[in-house]
Parts: sequence; structure tokens; C-alpha cells
Amino acid sequence: MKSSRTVQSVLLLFGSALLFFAGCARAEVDEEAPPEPVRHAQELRPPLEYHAVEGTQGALRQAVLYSQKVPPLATDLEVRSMLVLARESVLPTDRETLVEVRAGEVWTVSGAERKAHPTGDIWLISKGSHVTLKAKGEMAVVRAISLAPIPGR
Amino acid sequence: MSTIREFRGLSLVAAFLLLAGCRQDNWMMYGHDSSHSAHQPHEKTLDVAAAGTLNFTTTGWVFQSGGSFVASPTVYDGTVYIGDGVTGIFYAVHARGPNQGKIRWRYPPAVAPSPADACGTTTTPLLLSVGSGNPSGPGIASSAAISDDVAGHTAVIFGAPDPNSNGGDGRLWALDAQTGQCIWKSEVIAPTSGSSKIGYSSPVIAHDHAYLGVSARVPDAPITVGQLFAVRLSDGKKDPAIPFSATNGPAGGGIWSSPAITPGGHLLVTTGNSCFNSDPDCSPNVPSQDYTMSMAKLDWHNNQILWQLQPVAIQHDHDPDYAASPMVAKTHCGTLAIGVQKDGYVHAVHVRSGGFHSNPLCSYAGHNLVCPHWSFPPAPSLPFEDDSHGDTRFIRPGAVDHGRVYITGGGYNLTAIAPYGGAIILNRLYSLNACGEDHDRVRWIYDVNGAGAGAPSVANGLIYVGADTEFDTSATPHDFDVLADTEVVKATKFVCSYPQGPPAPIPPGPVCSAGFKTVPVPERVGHLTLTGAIPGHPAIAEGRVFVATTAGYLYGLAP
Repeated sequence: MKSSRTVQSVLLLFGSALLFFAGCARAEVDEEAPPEPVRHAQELRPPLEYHAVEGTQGALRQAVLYSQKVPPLATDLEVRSMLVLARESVLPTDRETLVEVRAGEVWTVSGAERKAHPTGDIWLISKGSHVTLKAKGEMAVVRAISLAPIPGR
Repeated sequence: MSTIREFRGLSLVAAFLLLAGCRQDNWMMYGHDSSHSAHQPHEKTLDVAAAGTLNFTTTGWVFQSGGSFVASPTVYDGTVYIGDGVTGIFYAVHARGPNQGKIRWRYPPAVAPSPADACGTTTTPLLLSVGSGNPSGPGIASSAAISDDVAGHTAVIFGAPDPNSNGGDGRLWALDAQTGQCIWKSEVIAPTSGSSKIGYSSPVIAHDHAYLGVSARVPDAPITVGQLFAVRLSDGKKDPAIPFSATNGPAGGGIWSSPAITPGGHLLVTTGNSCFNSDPDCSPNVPSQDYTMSMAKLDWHNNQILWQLQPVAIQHDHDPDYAASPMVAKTHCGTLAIGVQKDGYVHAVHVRSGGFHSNPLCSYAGHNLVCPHWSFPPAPSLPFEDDSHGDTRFIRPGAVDHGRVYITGGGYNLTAIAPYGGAIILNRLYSLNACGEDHDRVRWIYDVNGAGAGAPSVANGLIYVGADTEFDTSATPHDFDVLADTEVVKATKFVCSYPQGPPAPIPPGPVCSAGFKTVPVPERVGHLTLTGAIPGHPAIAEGRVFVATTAGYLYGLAP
């Protein structure tokens, strides 16, 4: 009789231990994945080659995306992508330039005016003005579209 | 008769053990658990009615540190644990009871232990005095994790500088959860002689180890090699089988986030940017081992990569890396690893078993990458190779409750299309359908009243989220909202959402056109104004909500 009770007790304790561990048991391993969605192959473009803008010690680098003479307007059209780091650098302003922030955020200083330009902001920088650029974070990307008279026209 | 008594007694013991076996209503680490779901599955007290009565003035409490909390609170057994990012003090605060809101203990203590303890504890705060430019601050930005198996103690573990070691060498600290006594401080993980720091990375506990990463001490100046370390819980020694390094060449891939654990026990990490474009002195060559700007699954046995998602090719690295931690979601469409990049894109990858996995359709030269199961906004072609993926400050992680994802995201082509908005929207919390099609991804949207939305948490179908103003440590009022998921409370307001395709002006709602879809706005069922920005996850535990602010306020909100 006594041994029967002992067996019962042992069984109950064993069950209790099972419940204890069940209380915190990990969910069953489930890492299987269904088939991937259909995707189309893409042709990757060669990466852009950025070159330091003179006098900026690499804080401003640019790559020309598009360059075209537009005779009816007597202008040179140039589209550039520019990398801006978190150091102030003077933007060359030898032409009228429309600037758009493509990624990150940019501070500009022009005269006494200091302005933040978030992603998506578009503004015009006049030829001959003195403008410094600086990324507000670690890096920013701007798209610069410039128009300059064709020399000799 | 005595058998029946014995049976009853043992049954009671069994019931106690079942309940005590897992204190399921705690908030044990950053993002609640090792999946970083930020989901409290055992909350029963806080329903719609109770959430509306949450307060810190009558039944709740508020504690002020005098510094700034950038970490998130951890809650265990009636105590809230959190370190201060400015003062370098780690606090254990009573969560409830007659002493609620009062300090249970602090570390370092006001009086140094005598005789000296195993850590050489002094009264000097855990502050970095050498180049503390990392925005995580000079003190403790790492959220704490609880482990009940640290050399016979239940311990609270976090990363912090050691003021008595070279001006703040970064280590993990294990303190007794009850007394605050130091059990061990780990071997040095981020030496001040190097360029790394334990920043926001919070330890995750698995396999008798604590795992955490290091990032640049000063952001990208210089950039550092991202590494993941494993520290043995038994003695604080580094496991030589780890670390994982994000590159084998030029620096890059800092781990600013907290690693997560997959159901199979593997590690999930998110990494920072490379030096490819951010440092003019960086090698122009792509490293042969490039795990930067990625979400990756690592085999916990040997730290080998099992898969890697790198949505932006390294040549187009304009700083769109991962700052937010990844999370693991168990859904009816499989187990997903989900994370938001700084460019706002949310990518979800099937965790998958086995490995190594890759798909040439999402890979490029020198890189064998996987494709995401979905991206938000949709990204039919990866890797991205345009110049619009950068540091757009989507840095807060989300929460997930089965297939319902709550996250602040929205890529450039969704929210920042001049002239249709022209500004990044950091305060828009999306609920995403993890198992839907792209056109059905958005479940609802809610604009938090503030510059940004902090990391949300979810319990019982209620979403808790605070307003965040990045880098703001001032004592300014910020909203804290409790939202009812639209499956809990039927929405009465609707707006137009644009889930995919080319940009277009937002038409006046509620009838949406031009590709826009009508989506609900969840009902706000609770609201408080708290002092300071709320970047981190609220912790939901024991029928209460614990919220930390960058103005150094810790709230215990009670119904």
C-alpha cells in the first residue's frame, strides 16, 4: 500500500515537472518557407564613378549622369549626382543649378542664411552665388541639373 | 483518505509549478523576447476600457533620473530595469506596491562594496570619457535582458562603458536582479583604443550566451567593423566561436541594433553601412566578404551566414543601412524576418531552414543574396541601384502580433515625392498585413502627433506608441497613444493610402482613386501627455505599461 502511494507520488511529481517545463517550452521549430514569389531578372547598370570636386577634399563628390548640348536654347545641359558628406564644402556655382535632395538631408549656408533641405526638397542655386553644402547626417545625395551657355554662342 | 490529500497537495504544487515555470507576463528584454516581437502575448488586464484609464498620477507613478533614457525598459518580477544614457546609472525601480516608482537599487551603488566585489565596483558612473560622440550618448543606451541562469543568479544583463578601464572600454555587465550586486563584467568587447562602441545594441539571451553587437563610437568617423559577440553567461568570457564580422576588408557593417533569435535558435542581425561612399579614404574595392547594410541569418553553432539580404548594392551605399533591430514573426504564411532600413523600406524574408540560401535574381557581382518575400513599398527589382536610398531616418523597429505588423516605414517613392508631399513622414505608423499581397499590404495607418513615432508595442490587440523627436532630450510634452487594432474596435475614419506604383496627388477621401486604396484609421482608445521624447518600446507587463523618455522620465502607467 505504502509503495503504491510512493509510486503515485513519484508519478505526480514527474507530471509536475513536465508541466513546469511545458510552461516555458519553446514553440516548435518552424523555419520552413513556402516557394518564393516570382521575380523577373534585372540587368544591373554599371555603378557610377564619383570623383572629388576640386577643393573639397572629397567631402563633395560627383558623377555626371547626362550631358547634352541644347542648341535651340544655346545651352549646355548637365545632370550630375553628388555625394555630400558631413563636412562643409563649397559648391561650384559656375552655372545655374537646380538641386534636388535624393537621399538624406542637407544643410546649406548662403550668406547669413542657413537652411535644412530634407529629402525631396528642390531649390535653385544662382550662378556666382556662394553656397556651402553639408550633410545633416553622415551622408546625403543630391541631383544637380545645370544649365550653362554654350561657349562662343 | 491520505492518498486524496496527497493528490490534492501535489496537484496544487503542480499548478504552481506550471504557472511559476514561466513568468509569462514579464518583459524580459528589448522587444519583449528573443524574437523582438514587442508583443506581450499574456496580457489580460489591459482591454479597451482599462487602457483608457492608464495614468501616472493616481494608481501609476513617475520616476525621474535627472538624465536621459534612450534604452527601453525591461520588467521582471515586479521591478523595472533601465540604464541612463547620460548619467551612466543603471536603475532597478519598484514596478508596483507601496514602494512603486522608488529605486530598489542602483548601479554603481552610492557606496562602493567592501570588500571589493568581482567587478571592482566603485561609485563611478558607467560613462565613456573618450570620444562619446555616438548619439547613443556616453552612458547606457543598451536595454537590459533578464537571465535566470547566470552563475546561480537571476541576473540583469546590459552593455555599458567601464569607467575604470581605459576611459570606458565597452563590456557586458551582469548584476543580480534582486540586489544589484555585480556578478561579472565581461571581457572587453569595445575597447576605447579601437573605433567601436556598444551603442544601442541590447543583449539577446540564447544557448547560455548573451549576444550583442558593436557600432562606430563616433558615427562613421571613422566607420568601424561591425561585429557580433557572444558572451558566456556562466563567467562573462567571450566565446571564441564568435565574433561575426560584417566585412573582411575596409570597415563597415556596424551593428547598431539588437540581434534576434529565430525559432531554430539561429541569430538574425541587421548591419550598418559600408565605407564605400561615406569615406573618401575607403578602398574603392568591394570587400570579398560584404555583409554591410544587410539583414542576415547566422548559424549559431559557427557564425556562418545562412542567408543575406542586401537590398541596396554597396556601390549605391548612400547610408540606407539598418539601424532598427530585426524581428521574427510567426505567421500562417511561415516565419518571417522583418526589418526596416533607414530609407524606409520594410523587407520581410522567410527565415527558412538549412542554408546557405541565395537567389540570383536578387544578387549581384560578388554577392549571393536572398530575395525578400515582400517589401513595403513594393520592390519588384532588387538590389536597388538608384541614388534615392539614403539616411532618411527610419530607425525605429516595429512590433508584430502574428501576421499583423506595426511599423513606421515608407520608402522614398511612397512618402517623399515632391511636389506631392516633399517631406519624409516619420510619424506615420503603418499596420501591414504580413501575409497579404502587395496591393493589400496596408491594413491601416495612423499619424502620431509628433515629429516621429517611437517603437510600438502590442498586447491584447492594443498598440502602444509614443511620439519621438530624434536627439531631443528636453523636457517637452510628447503624446503617448493607445490604439485599438481595427480587428478589436471597428474603425470609423478612413483615409487614402498609396501602396504601390507611381506617385500621384492624394485625392480627397474617403473615396480614393488613381490607385489609392481606402484604409482605416484605428481608434485611439487611450492618450497621455508625457514629458520627453519616447523613442523606445513601451514595456507591457503585469497589467501595466512602462514608458521611458529621453528627458529622463520613467513612467509606470496603471489602469
